[in-house]
Amino acid sequence: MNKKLTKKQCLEEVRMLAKRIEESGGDDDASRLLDKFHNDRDADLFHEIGRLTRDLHDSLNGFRLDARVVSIAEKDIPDARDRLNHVISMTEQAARRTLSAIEETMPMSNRLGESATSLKGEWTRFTRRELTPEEFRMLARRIEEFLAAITADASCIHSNLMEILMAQEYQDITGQIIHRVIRLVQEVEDSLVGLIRVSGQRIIPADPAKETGTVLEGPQIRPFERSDVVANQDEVDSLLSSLGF
Amino acid sequence: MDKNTKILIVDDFATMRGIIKNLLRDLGYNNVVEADDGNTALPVLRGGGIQFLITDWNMPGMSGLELLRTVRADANLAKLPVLMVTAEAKREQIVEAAQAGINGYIVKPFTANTLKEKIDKIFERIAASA
Repeated sequence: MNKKLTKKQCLEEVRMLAKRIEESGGDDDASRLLDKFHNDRDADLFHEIGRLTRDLHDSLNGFRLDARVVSIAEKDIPDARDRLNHVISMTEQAARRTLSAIEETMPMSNRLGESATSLKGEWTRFTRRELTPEEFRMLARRIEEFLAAITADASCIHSNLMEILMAQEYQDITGQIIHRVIRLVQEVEDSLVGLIRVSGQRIIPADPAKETGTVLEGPQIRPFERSDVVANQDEVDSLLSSLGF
Repeated sequence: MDKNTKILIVDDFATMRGIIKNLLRDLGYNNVVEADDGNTALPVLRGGGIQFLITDWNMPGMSGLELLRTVRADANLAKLPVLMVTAEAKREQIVEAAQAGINGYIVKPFTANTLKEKIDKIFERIAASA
């Protein structure tokens, strides 16, 4: 493609044209130079149209990209924020459940340990025949109380351990939610890279990141606000029983 | 249900497998094996001896629903009782699982009591139809 002539080059060419006409009076050289001027102007015009076409193409691509960015900003980011807030509240709840079960269990295990140590001392005295009959009766009563306490505490410790176990469930659910947010962050990153490409005046290949039809949605964070999801196990059971289960 | 029943737990989250395993132990079931998705579960199932399958739905590799369909299509495994324990709560998905031949469906988060109820119910039905 011809390059646009600078002012200096133009002047040079015009001078040359005038000189040729003066010198030879010959039409050939002069008309050749005039043709050249004409061609240069055409080339500039084509060049300009080419540039406009490319700008239009880039703008259209940018527009398509913008639409996805708008949807990310309006829908996906607030959704991700809700999901992450849900993660915070689930982990907080799990931590609270775990801590309160531990707080209840620790004094119990301490108390059992202390009672056992003290009884062991008394028992050793008994085996050495150092106890008076009155002391022995007291020891027998304490052993009986201790056994009753173990029975009650063991059941309480067991139920607290189960509570701690169930509280760990958050890890599965929060893990799924965080995976989803990571995927969104990845998409935002890709879109930003795309925008940078467009603003850098380079044509990018079309990338239709289309959503597929039925995807698994994972944990519901506001099930009561939707009619197409169940909110709890009772609703699962009644749905299944309506299907003959 | 016989406490020696051999149970396979399939879930991609080790924590969830641990929870279910401990709940089962608390209910008296100690014969438990684990797998982390459908692809690793199938060889275990085809190896024989598994009498009860508890599976998650959403897993990388082979999902719980695909695993269920594969089990139902396999002559040797078709009658295996399957309990799905999943966070998927859409009605159409529950219906889909029911149509694929699930024996029970538990939505996460769940309680120890729910697990016990569903297992008891599944085996009561099996005993009644036997």
